[in-house]
Amino acid sequence: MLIDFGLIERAKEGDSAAFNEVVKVYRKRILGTIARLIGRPEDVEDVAQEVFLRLYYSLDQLRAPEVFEPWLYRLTVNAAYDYMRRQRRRPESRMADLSEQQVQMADADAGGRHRDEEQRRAGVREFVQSLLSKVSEEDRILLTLKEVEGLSLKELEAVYRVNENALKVRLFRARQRVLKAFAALQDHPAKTDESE
Amino acid sequence: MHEHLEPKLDTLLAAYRQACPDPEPGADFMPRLWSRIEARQSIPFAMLRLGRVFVSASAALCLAMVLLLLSPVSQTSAPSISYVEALSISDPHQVMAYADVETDNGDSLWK
Repeated sequence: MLIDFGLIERAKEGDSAAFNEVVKVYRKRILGTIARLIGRPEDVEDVAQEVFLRLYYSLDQLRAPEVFEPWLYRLTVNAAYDYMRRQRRRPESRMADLSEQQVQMADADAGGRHRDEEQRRAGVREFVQSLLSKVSEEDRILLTLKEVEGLSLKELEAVYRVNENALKVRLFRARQRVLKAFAALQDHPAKTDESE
Repeated sequence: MHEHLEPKLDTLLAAYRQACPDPEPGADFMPRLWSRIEARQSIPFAMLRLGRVFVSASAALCLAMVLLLLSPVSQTSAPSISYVEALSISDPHQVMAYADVETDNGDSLWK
């Protein structure tokens, strides 16, 4: 926990200063998670604000301060999921197809060969976001939380409120689907969308 | 099936984490958040106020209707005398003149 339970209790009782403090402590982490989930820097702050807005109006429903972090992650996941679903309804806003060059660049990066640092990072970002856009929002979020955010199975259990076995099955299937999309991208980098 | 890609995917996702550091929040993050909170608060409050006005107006209207319904009843509840009798009470001489009625001792007024 980044903050003490007393602060959460005070925020829960309607103390604005305590709520302000909670937001200030967690906002950077939440912004980062959202950025990696949605892959659109221009909308990250809006989604993060939605998370904290929902936090403000539902804080009184928090059972115990001990479960605050998984609960905040749950709000984050829900807000990111809502955003992704809204984006899916807008065909013009879909991510651009990958060029063969981008795939090669990301492939080379994964192997540790890179030229310019910023260019390499941009290539990795674009490649992974395009790769994850080939699977469902549910798979994308789950895999990102586990593999990118580094949440443990215990933490994911608290976020998703499912048991470990169910979670393992979901994770395995999500990973298989991403691997399949990865293989398809490697075989036909620019034709993936046409083949779907 | 795609086992050969597993380590590659792990490396790629780790690289993605490195390539996407936590962004710094904008300077207006907190003011914007509070204005959104207040904007959402104002909607229920306005509705609550409107609801209270509506309840008060309904109560006043009900009271007025009850009074309206009760007042004609009180007026019509004792119509024990006829119209002619009422007229005679208000102006006994005039009525008797038209009717040519006799006085108590039996003499006509027109004699």
